Amino acid sequence: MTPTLVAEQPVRAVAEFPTVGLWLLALIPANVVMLLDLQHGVVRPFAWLARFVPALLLLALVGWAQLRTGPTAIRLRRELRLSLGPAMMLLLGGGAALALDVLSGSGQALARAAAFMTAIIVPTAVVLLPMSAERERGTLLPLLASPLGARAFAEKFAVAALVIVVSWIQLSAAGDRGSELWWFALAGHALPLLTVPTWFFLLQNDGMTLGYVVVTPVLIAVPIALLGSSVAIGCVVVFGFAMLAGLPAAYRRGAAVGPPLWLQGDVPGLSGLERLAPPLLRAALHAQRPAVMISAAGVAGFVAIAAWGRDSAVAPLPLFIFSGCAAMLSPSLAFAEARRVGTLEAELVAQPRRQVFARRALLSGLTTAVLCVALPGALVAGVVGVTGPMVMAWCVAMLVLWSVGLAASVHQTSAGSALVAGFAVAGIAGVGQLGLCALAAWATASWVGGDPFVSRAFLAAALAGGAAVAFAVGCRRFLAADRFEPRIAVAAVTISLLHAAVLGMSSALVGHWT
Amino acid sequence: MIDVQGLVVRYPRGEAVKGLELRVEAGRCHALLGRNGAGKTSTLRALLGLLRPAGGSIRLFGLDVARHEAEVKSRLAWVPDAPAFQPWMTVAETLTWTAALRTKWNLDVQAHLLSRFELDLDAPTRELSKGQRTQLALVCALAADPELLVLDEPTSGLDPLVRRTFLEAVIGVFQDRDPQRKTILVSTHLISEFEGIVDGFTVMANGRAVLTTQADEARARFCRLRAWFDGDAPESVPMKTVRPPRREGRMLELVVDSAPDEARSWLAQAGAARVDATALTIEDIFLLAA
Repeated sequence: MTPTLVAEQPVRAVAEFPTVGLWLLALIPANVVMLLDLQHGVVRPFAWLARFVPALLLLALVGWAQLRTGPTAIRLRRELRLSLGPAMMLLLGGGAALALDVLSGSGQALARAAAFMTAIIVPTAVVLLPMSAERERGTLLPLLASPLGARAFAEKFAVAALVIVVSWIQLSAAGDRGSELWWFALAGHALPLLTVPTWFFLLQNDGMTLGYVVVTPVLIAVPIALLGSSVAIGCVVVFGFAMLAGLPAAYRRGAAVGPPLWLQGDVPGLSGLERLAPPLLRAALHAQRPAVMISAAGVAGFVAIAAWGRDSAVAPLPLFIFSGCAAMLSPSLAFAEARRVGTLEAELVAQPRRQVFARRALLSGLTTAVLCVALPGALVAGVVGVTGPMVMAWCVAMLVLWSVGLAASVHQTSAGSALVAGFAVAGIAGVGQLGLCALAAWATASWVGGDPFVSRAFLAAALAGGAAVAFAVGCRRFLAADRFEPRIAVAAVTISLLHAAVLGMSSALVGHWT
Repeated sequence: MIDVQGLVVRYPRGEAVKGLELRVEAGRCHALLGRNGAGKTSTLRALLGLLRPAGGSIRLFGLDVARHEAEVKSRLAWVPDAPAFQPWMTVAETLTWTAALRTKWNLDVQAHLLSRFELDLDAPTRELSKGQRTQLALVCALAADPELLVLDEPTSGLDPLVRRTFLEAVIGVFQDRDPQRKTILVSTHLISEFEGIVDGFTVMANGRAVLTTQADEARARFCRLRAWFDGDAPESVPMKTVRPPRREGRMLELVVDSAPDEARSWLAQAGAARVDATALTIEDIFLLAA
């Protein structure tokens, strides 16, 4: 039955413009590809149309929902608003891989790897976060209890599916069709659509579903690495459709608010090691458990792939993804999750902010150093035999993720939102810094003559500078007890971009002089 | 003890507190009253150092909160409206953890309150009821032996029995131990429960203090007069009243501020056969002021 609206809602086109306007960014990737094609003297109007039309369909939906006043449009408007963050991360992350073709050598490879990581991890967030947001805001139960609950969830799922399909159509233009990374990205887009809603209703816990965002790449990476692309994709498809078949039952279970799976067992208490620590350290260590588990899962996956003897070049990728997630999650657990639980405020009322920040940041930093740098670094160096510069790049990447995670999480109120915000900022900041470093090198080389030269060391230095700025921003935001500091954000962006540009110019000059 | 001058708390969408002035002497129990969104919680959070004020100054115990953070925080404790604990901790572990955050911890107070509230030390905090969680938060606050106890809607959602034991503990265990030094600042909607407890109160509306007064002074100042006439009640009242006069047949009701004798004599002159005068409760005053 369609509910009757008591009064027509006025169209709020002007007030809603910022949200609607952000959806226009979805048009960027297709047009960037066209511009790059034109730059190389290639004219492919039909290929452009094939990528442009799906984005246009998405925008048509946004426009329709904005202008109509019926109940479906009102519901869709809300869904589009909830989906905006992860959707833009996905669409622009994939688009960045296309835009950064102008980068040379290692910069291009790094940007493409980051784009494919986005393609593997973010589609899960696109499906999961709008549903998880309902639970966090306390609107899940009223939605499930409403007569149109199932339809509302179907619409939510349809919006996520449309975003993922558009992203895949745009991303598939990049990368070599049929390569392992291409299969990873395909599976990364397809699997969330088939499995995440079922997991969401079965688990009934945001922490667990957040963990699932991280486990998904293993479900994709391990079969592909162990069995090869075609067999693995078969496994993934069978698993995905089996999960999808269980969705109606899972939804009924969720709608009936049955006992969630995670509550059927006892919540784990303290481990032996944690009991040895003093009370404050004990609680902080216990809070880091999800990061430890994610890191352990990455190590287990790496060891399994390495033991199977498959492609040694692919084996470190899952470990890198897991270590990156743990590095980003660790400060989120120390700050954002503690704020959601309420224990952070209890500490802040009793102790100076500086002391609370130092204790939590130090413990999170040490956890990250051990779990995400020392342990996986030693494993990768020992098993795969990677060289020094790669280990350094690994360390810098973890440092960047941890610092940005810290800066993004200090005023967030859940690990989930902090993780998404952190990945978004890290993605944009990383791509921006690498891009500016390469552009500055190219411009300087054009000016003084010669080839642009950007070594890994210069790129790593650019990212490390960004990490230092991010840490300073996080520290400043927390100590000032002020979450709204636009001046600080502007200053941080300016400093880190200037730093990257100077490094780019320096690298070109070094290349010119040598 | 508490000296707030020109406090401004600003959010991106506007100011929650606009130039609040508040002074509370040591040993007093002061209530912050106001409707939802009046700025009470923002004020408390700024006092506790959880929000950075956009303007004004906050001094507690004669010290600037921002400059002497460690000393100020060691002398105050807070009971929030929704106390939060680590779900995996037991009551005993929560107390140990909280004690590790404090510079002082009174084990006698802890033992006394635990037995009074009948809290099981081995119970996981996730299994506690709302009332028990509030009681545990109060144990954590009072065992720290603070000079200033900040209560943010402490009894909302509790059953009457738990509310009574909570208030008895606040007064009996906290304030009666050292009445000259122990100060309470409470924000509450359940005004009637604090009627006999608060020494003074501030009514907030739209981020400003619209009325700050001592409770006894307020009771003496605001007066409700009900007069019954033989004929119809007079149409006009030649004096300033707090709210428009109310007429019901032969009865006329006036609420006056600071001049009850003058009003009473006018009513007698106007032919009132009987005049009843009653002091307003704090809840009545809040309803008038908010």
